[in-house]
Amino acid sequence: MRASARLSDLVVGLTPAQLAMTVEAFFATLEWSPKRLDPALLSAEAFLDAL
Amino acid sequence: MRLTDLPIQPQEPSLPVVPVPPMALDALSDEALDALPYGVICLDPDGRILRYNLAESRLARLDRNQVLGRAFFGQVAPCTATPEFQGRFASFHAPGASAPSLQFEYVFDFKFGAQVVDVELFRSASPGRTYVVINRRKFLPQRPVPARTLAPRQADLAPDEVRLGVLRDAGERRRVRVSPLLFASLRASWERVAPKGWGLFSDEWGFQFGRLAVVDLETIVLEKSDRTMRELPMKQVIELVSDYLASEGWGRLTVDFSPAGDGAIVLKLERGAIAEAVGISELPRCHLLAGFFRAIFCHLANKLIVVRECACRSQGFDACSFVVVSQERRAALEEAIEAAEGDVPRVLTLVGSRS
Repeated sequence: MRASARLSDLVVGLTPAQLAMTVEAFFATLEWSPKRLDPALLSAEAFLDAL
Repeated sequence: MRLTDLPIQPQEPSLPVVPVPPMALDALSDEALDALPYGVICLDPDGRILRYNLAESRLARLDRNQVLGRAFFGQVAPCTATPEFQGRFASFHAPGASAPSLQFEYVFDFKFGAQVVDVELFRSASPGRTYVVINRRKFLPQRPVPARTLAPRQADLAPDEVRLGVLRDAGERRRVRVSPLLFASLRASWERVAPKGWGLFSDEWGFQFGRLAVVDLETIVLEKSDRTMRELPMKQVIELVSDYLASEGWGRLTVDFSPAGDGAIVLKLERGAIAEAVGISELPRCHLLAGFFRAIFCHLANKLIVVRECACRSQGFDACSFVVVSQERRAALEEAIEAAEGDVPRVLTLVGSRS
């Protein structure tokens, strides 16, 4: 899967389980996870809101 | 309640997260006006200054004590003695005028530069009083305007104050040089009067001090970037706060962001002035700085944030460590600090497992 692939291009016709796996794979290609908080990128308000 | 009955752990105060309705300015104390991040001036019908908040004092670089009672248009801000400002103020007060507010854009001309501002005039509930609310939008170099129209410097208003023992910094804020021993003597006084009260008192003191420092920090950010602290990257804000504390002699602040995914960050203060002043202690002693950090983080997050010192240089640790968590993790953090006895990684593990 290409990192630049759009999520909306991937999800049409998938079952919920396939969708979950696709989302996980998509994040993996970006080497990013929803729990990762980058203080150099996130604004102070957004960073602290995620604590 | 007797002083000796005071609890050790500070309570989290309510935090005003909703902007103050301008019509309510009259009801605010001077202390509450000072916590607002924008300029507020109260004028009588003749334009004489009745109230002047901290943000305005900081941004205009004028000491409130020197402007109260003076003529705003004639003495303090001659750049506003124009039809576009003073004329609108007069119309706002003209017989029969009843509009509750009037908004316009203006440019203030100071001797240290110009400021593009949004001005809003509000009719006070007290007859004849007008509140002038000023939001800075942009900072410019000094403009080529007649010298007589430039707002005066602090030294113009009080030329003799150096002889009278008044010290000021580059921003014309008054300074008092004190030794950290002041904190040692203050703590010793609490030990004599109310040993359990020190933590509560100094945390609240630090919180109130931090709220005022926020105004100062926001001004620094605004002058440099036309943005607010909340909008800046978290790392940049921490560097700003760290430099601010170091420039005032409090020690060097660094932050470990790595536990953020588990809901905490750790502030580390090296060579902390309070910890080194109060002497050897069994318990953390930098409640004042914990309160200070709490005010900064509550402001940044726009919600309640908890900051607790879990290891202190006064206990023999290399540096003072403060753990920052959301209000929801407060109880877990306090239990973890109690159990971990200064072991910061263990505090983080416990907080993560109990949340």
